[in-house]
Amino acid sequence: MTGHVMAVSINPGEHTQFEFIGMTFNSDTIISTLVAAVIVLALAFLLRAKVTQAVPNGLQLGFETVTKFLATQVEGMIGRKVAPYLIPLALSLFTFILACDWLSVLPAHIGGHDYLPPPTADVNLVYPLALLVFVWRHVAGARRHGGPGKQLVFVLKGHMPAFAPMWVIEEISGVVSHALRLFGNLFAGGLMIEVIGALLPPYVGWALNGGWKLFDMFIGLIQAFIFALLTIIYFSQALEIREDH
Amino acid sequence: MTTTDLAASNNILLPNGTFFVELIIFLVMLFVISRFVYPPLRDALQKREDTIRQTAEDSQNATKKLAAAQERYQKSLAEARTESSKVREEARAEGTKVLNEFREQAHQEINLIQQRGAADLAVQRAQAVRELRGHVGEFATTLASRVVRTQLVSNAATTAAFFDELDAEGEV
Repeated sequence: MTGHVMAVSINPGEHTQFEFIGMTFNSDTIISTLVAAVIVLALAFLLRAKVTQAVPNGLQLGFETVTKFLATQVEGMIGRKVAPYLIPLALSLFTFILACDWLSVLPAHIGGHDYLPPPTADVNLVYPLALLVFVWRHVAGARRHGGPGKQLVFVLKGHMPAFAPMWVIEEISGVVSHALRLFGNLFAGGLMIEVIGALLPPYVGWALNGGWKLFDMFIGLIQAFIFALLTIIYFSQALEIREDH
Repeated sequence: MTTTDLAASNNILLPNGTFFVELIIFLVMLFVISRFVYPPLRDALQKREDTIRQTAEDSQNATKKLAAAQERYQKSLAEARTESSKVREEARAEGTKVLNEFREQAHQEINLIQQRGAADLAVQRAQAVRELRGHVGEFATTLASRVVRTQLVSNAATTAAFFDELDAEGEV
């Protein structure tokens, strides 16, 4: 019994690591991220080489669909002229996160260790993305509202100045939930794969594993979409012009 | 390593140096996409939208032109119908006028022919009467001589008096 329990032990969040200049680095996450970045950039440059105004190919159609959707959202919430940098930012976030998420589909789970884990299942990727969005939107808000001080007042006043502490909490929880929502979904997906692999014999587990990976693809798509959409929403909140009554 | 250190090192929610590497990778990606990929994609989308808008406008203009042409056609058709009706009426009036003129002319010719016929008849009648007057006394005397079986002699004065009486009575 004890042996069986030992056999199904899993290690969620375990990474292969190395030390450099006094800091620890997750080598598997870095490699996965580089692989995802190379995939996105390869597709992006392929698109750039074949981009046409006439009938687009499948790759261009995919990029165009995402870009048009994001552009519509930006236009509707903020206006392209107010934040011209937002569409490429949201496009980069969506494509990059999607590529990272879909790495989980690759059959790189060998001998109980995932050699190419989705980097979005590591907080080291989701934190910088969420923090980048947080800092960028408040810098943009400060430029729009006339300085950091005015942006701070803008945040504190919110829609009802009496609830200023609530708005501060909302800002902090916003950036944390922005990051951890993505992390949690992808981490749970990886965990499920490990659990299935540990609990079921391979001749049964492969089918369930395949089904779960397909579901993971759907989750990855939804999460990439949510992350990009929330970025636009957060920017629209930081850049809005309120009329004081 | 103390328990607290162990917990901290295994805490999946705490970032480590990977944070900076991931940030740099994403910033590089963002730069490349913003600088080299998004602009041609945006331009292609914009130009296609412009083309679609232009095509839609052209189509709308063509529809308007077609409607205007149809309106002009209908108007021309109506005018042509009015004109043809007018021409038909004029032709009919002209025809009636010509017909009336021919009819009038025919009447006049008929009258003329009738008058000539009457005059000819009158002349022939007068001639016949003249001839008859010249012979009627002789015929009557011959006929009477055969009846009475005695040779009688025609008296021109008596015959003339007889015809004068008839003329007076209007019988000849």
